Amino acid sequence: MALLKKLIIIPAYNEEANLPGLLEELRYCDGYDIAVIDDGSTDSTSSMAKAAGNAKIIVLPFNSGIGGAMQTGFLYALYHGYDIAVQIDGDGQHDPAFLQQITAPLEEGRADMVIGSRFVEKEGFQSSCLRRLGISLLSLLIKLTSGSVIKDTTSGFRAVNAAIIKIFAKEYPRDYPEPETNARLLRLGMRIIEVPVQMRKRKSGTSSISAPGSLWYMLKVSASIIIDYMRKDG
Amino acid sequence: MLDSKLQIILFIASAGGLCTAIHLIKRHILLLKYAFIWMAAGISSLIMAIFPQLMADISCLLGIQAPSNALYLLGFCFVLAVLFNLTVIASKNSQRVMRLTQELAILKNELEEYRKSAGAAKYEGDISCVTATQSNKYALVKEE
Repeated sequence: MALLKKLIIIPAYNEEANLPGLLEELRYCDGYDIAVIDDGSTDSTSSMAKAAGNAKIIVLPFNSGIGGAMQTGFLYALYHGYDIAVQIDGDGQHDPAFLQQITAPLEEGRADMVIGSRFVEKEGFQSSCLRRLGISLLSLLIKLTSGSVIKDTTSGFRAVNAAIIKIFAKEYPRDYPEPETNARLLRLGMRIIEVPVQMRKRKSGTSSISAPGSLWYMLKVSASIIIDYMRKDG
Repeated sequence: MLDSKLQIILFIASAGGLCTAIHLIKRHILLLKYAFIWMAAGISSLIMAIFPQLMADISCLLGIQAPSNALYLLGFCFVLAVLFNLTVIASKNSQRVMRLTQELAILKNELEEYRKSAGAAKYEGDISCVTATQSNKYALVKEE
């Protein structure tokens, strides 16, 4: 098999506490380039990443949301001809130990996108009860609109191939991108598979989605899936 | 019929608005593209002010008794349309700013990489390169 160019995209917003550890773990993952997207952090995220020495650092001049940061990574992957791009969150909840499982189906051409899923084997950090309810509601919505089942539709631990890198570089939601893009890729006929992973609880800091934000999250994401269902083009 | 006081106010306001719009276009502050809708509004309300019978006809057509009420309704609808249009423009601009920001961030990263590799190749072992200021480094890279 030809050697594939693989890029790990790490979106990071004020993750100075978690990022060095993550980059240290990634030092032992051969065959991957690393791009840290510093999403306008106000702490020393980018200098921490620079000090690690094994990552390219792309600094956005202001905070643009997880989607804006990830799209920067996809754009970078597109410009540099990467075959595979993997998202690993800067907060450390995605365990690099699962990298190989996540990219293998892409390398073998069995899928266009692989989602690292918490719920296939229900191991590791499972999130709160209310959140799981929200996630299954979104899964149901995606099943209704696309006919396919994605159990962990909010997982950001995803790997995509070159075709999807191109799609994402062109159009990627600014916030809460995962469920919407899953629905969109299914509509475009992309092959999505889930592989079981265990997620870790974030070591430091707080999730970007707060309690009152959850309602807005559900509303925005549901609406975006329904609107996407009405789209005809990419 | 439109009250003659309202007629005068309408005339002065629309003439003033129209003049302001044209003035700003002349000074390149307002883009003609976005000013057209305001100029059209200014001209049509000017016509209403000069020929109030038109307003009476329109209100009759809409089934509204007082022409002044019809004027308010039309004005309100017009403002809503402009607001909506502005939201569309704001969304478009926001997307463009996002894309520009991303391109800029990637370019900066590439410039940095380029500087690093150019510096390493050309000035290897040269201490002055290490102490060179940012602007000096940039000048060195540009020379090539």
